[in-house]
Amino acid sequence: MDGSFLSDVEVIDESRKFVCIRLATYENKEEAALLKSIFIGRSGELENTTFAILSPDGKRQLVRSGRSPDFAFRSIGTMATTMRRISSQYGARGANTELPVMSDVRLAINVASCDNQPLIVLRATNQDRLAELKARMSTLAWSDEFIGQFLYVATTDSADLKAIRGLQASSEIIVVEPGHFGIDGDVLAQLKGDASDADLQEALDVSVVLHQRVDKQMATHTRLGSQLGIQWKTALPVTDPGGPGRGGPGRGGPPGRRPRGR
Amino acid sequence: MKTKLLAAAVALAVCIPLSAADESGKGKIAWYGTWKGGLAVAQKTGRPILLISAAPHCHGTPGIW
Repeated sequence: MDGSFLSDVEVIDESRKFVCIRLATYENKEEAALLKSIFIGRSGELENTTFAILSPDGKRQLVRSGRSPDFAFRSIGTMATTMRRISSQYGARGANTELPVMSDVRLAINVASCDNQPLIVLRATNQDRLAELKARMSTLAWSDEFIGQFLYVATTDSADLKAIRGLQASSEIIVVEPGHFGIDGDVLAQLKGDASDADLQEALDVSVVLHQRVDKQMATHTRLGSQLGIQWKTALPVTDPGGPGRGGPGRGGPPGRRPRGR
Repeated sequence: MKTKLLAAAVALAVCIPLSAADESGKGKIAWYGTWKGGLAVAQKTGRPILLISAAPHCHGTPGIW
């Protein structure tokens, strides 16, 4: 991700004024239909990656949509400048306060592994309790200290957590180090939902320090995954002409890698 | 099986541990993970939407974009 549009400091700064949505391409039928309505490549099918900037109602495309930011922007600097202009045109009525959760634990562990970031799992026995946990965690998630440092997912089904090692039965806030292939993980920290603010803050601080980022090389990673028989099963067929799990004619991954420029 | 484990050990050994913090010292983009959830926030706050999609697997192998 280093050197890409989406990991650039200015772009990240500008992203704070947007609602940023990242979908897993082949995991949800309705979302796949939405993506196809925004961009279809020459194949006429949904491709691995899509990029768009949309109006707050999600209906109007504000820049040229495509596979990646470089369909719309000549450089990272242009993207940051354009984002600044767009956000200034919309008088935001409030801040992002909802916890940015993923759809399910299995996918969240995988995405956390892809992102090289720890995952926070909220677990409760009912939706009311889960809502309380989300509200509590949201304050920290959008704080200057922790914004963009973790991924989040919430569940009321303990069976979702069977791939997480070291879990205690009473834990409600669980910080997970995703495994190398994103199919399992280990507990970095875990607390009950009524832990003190200081304990929760400390758990997150410690998790950031304990988290081990690794530089994954695509060729090595995929070869090893193949040797070990590790395969990701998507909810929908992969239709990208570049092949299964590929980023199409080229490569996979979050859209857009390009040297910084103006 | 031994061969597979050896291959795993060799391959993992070449992975380079990086700093726990981003180079910038700041977090990454904070992504909503569902269209429904993100759109609701955008409609409520009046903020424009930065949307991407990506496949969290390469050649069918998870754990890498």
